[in-house]
Amino acid sequence: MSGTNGMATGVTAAGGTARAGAEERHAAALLALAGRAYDLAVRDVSADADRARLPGSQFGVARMRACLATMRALLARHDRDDHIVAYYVAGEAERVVSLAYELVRDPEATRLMGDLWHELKAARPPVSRDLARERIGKTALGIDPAATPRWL
Amino acid sequence: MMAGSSPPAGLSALVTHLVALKPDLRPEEIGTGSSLTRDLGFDSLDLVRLAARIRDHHPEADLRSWLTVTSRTEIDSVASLAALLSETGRTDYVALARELAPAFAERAARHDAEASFPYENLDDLVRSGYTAMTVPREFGGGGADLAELCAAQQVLAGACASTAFSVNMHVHGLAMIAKLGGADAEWVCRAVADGAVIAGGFSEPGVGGNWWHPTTSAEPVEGGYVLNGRKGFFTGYPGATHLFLSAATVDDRGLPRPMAFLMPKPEKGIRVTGEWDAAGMRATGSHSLAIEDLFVEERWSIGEPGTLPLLFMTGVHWAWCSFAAVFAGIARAALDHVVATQRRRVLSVIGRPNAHLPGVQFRVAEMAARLAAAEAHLAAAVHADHDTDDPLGHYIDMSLMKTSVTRLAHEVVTLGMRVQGGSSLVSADPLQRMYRDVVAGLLVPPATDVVLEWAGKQALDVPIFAEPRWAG
Ligand SMILES: Cc1cc2nc3c(=O)[nH]c(=O)nc-3n(C[C@H](O)[C@H](O)[C@H](O)COP(=O)(O)OP(=O)(O)OC[C@H]3O[C@@H](n4cnc5c(N)ncnc54)[C@H](O)[C@@H]3O)c2cc1C
Repeated sequence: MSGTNGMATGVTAAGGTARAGAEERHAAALLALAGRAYDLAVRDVSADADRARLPGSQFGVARMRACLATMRALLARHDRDDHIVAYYVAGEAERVVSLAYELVRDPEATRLMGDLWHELKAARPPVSRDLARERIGKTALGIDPAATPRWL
Repeated sequence: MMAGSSPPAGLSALVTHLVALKPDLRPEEIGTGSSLTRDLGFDSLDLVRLAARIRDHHPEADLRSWLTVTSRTEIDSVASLAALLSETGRTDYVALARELAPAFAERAARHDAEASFPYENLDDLVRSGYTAMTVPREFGGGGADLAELCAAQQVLAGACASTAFSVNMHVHGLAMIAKLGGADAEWVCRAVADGAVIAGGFSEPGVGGNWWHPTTSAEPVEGGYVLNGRKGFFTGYPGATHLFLSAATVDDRGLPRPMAFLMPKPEKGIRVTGEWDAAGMRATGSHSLAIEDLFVEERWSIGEPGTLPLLFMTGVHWAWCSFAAVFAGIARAALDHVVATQRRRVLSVIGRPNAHLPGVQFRVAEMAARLAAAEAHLAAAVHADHDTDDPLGHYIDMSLMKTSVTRLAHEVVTLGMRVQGGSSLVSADPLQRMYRDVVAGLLVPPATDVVLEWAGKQALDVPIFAEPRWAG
């Protein structure tokens, strides 16, 4: 039988706005981490003129730039009532830090990058990725995310 | 006309009405500061006839408020009435795209299957004024801004991507030319307001998407130039009345100077060497052409010789944002289509619509998230400050946006194919057409690899055009 179970999915009307705020803050924090990883990588590569003139370094930096620009745009213009911003930014921030990791050579920069990676993975999202995916998908498909049973 | 300031929108329409009522008035004598009664000799009967005519042509115009203000202030200037007209009768191009879209969507499968050019769609676009969208209002067009253009194009692309992509070459190209101002812009704008359609050819088989290096030659001769060369991917060629294309002259030092020409489609001197027959965007008529001893009058050259790259870079937001809009529009339509199908489709072993399956929900979530990101990036670029004194930086930012948006759009549609399953490959499912069309987003300029190189070099403070290009 289908029903509504706010507890199972954590959806409550009053909690919605607070949750949206928490998700935005989470996304902003991850974007900031990704931005730091980018800066670190650019500094590290720029310090070595030969490496800066290699296409691989340039493409890696540009890919990060493109991801960051999209993340920033989404954070500035998103629907506050959905889970998309935190979900998307988390995935892309991981991509950026991973790309940045591949580019650094300096031991101190590599250690800092390790810290950033750890911070990124340790940052707990207000809503788990699985649950966010479920809710985003159900909302797009016009299914009440709070309805039970959750699947078939 | 007042020197030093641009004519108010609505002026050209008003001048047409005034001259229609008083044929002895000469348009060039009608200044924005002219008083209808004192300078142009309109008596009360003329004013009544003018009001009736304006009511017929612009039913939404609130003439009563204008008359109240004029009788109180005794200011009955042409400018005040033109301003009133400019606020009314404005076409909402997004609404127009929504109106046209269902018929385009219905015809899309046939044109795709036959690789035929959608002439009837183009007729609808011209007749409805859609093709005059980016013509400034003072030249009788819609004066649509970049945001409206992109929103409308997204809608059209969701219905028939080929039609949207074809007309995109026209609407964005025209916007870039209009920005130039002057006589070059004015005649083109007026021609388009009268129904002209432009196709643009900058790509050549020998140079790929490196449009700033045309190998088509423009040899100066008495009264103009003789062009010889080849063009590829001339989208919209079958329906165009005018051609916008590049060629290069040689300067005193023997270096090529890229130039742009915009001319009525010539009857001789251009030959179709290959009709467009491709996996995607099949109804765009993007033919290959040979240009053979084509004489082009001097007056059809646009901008100063050698300034084509700068012209393009400063107006690049019109090009890359509108390209991105087309592919984002395909992705949006793909998501809508997948959602509608999955809500309906019931497999007997499952017993409920597929939309209730977790795997379907997860992939639809990925589609929705990527689409939201693509649309946000496009919107940010559309609303960015385009009046820049750093054309190269502007070009790179816009290019990165186009690269991201088209990548995301492609991912959205690819995910959609996996959600739909094998039935998405069947020709009756429009998703397979969207899948073939959206790939073009990755292939049209700017070439992704060049974007990555330039954006990377810029960030790393490496001179972008230094030779050798790379170390090693
Ligand atoms: C559907 C469609 C419609 C089109 N319509 C038009 C149109 O109306 N008008 C028009 O002018 N053009 C149009 N184009 C063409 C487009 O502008 C490109 O010119 C075209 O896609 C070039 O393809 P190509 O295979 O020749 O070369 P490209 O795609 O340019 O290049 C082939 C490969 O070389 C790489 N490459 C190219 N140049 C460089 C470089 N300088 N440095 C490093 N790598 C490079 C690319 O990344 C790619 O991997 C259209 C293209 C498509 C697909």
